[in-house]
Amino acid sequence: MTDLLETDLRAVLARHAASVTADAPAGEVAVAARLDAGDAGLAEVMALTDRTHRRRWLAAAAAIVLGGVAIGAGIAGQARDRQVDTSEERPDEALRGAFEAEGSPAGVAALYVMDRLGIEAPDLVVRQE
Amino acid sequence: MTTPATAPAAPWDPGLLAVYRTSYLDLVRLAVVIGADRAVAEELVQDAFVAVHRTWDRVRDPLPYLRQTVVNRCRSWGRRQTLERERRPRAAEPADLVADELWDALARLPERQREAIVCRFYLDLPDAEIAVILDCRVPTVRTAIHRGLAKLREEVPR
Repeated sequence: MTDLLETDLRAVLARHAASVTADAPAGEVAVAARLDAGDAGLAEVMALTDRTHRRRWLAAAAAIVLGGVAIGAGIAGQARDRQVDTSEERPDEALRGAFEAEGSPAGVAALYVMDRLGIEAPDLVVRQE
Repeated sequence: MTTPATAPAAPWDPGLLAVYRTSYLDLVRLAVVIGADRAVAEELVQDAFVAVHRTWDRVRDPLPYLRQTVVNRCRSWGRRQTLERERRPRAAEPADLVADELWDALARLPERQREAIVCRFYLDLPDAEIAVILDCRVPTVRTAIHRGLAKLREEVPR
């Protein structure tokens, strides 16, 4: 037999859980960026951050911008390989299209994080060249 | 130009990505009802996915493993927060959540009792599955739930 307390417990837990929303696409990108950074890259950026949500995002971006990890270094190389004109006004859009066309989640993830943080693709490309 | 030693690999295992897309929000909610702050809950769940990815080849049933990882990380985070919580009143809930003495009493339970009660009354799991998540024996789960409910009855008479 279910008593009143148990009924109320179910209700209160369900109510609090239902009030929680999460940015699943953003989380997916953050995880992807961290996976791509690898242990060494992650350790490097974690040393620069503390454990707050916003700073974890910055850590993901830092992993990209530092260029010491595959995802950052790969952006410029892939732009070159795909003959994307980085002098265009929005080379990130051209890159995003190229990445999406070939199903490169790492590339799309990088651009997504950059976009969220206001990092300009040309800056990254120039930094890498 | 920095040249990567290897081409960037697709970071997500497709199987794990599918699990992520179906269970991310549920796991964040689990972390919150166990006691994590909302902003931290997402980060803890992301941590769990990164950790599970490393052992993905050996994971046969990902959801219990992810739940266990989330619970463990919530526990670690909670322990770090204990002193701070004792010195500071609990953060105000959003306006749409009224003050709830049962929720507050739940938050004051010892961690294992709270975790067991959440697994039972939020996830609706049987004792054996709760024991896997909490990494303890089934009798321990039953005891934790029994004692937790008793404390809640004392604090919040019904």
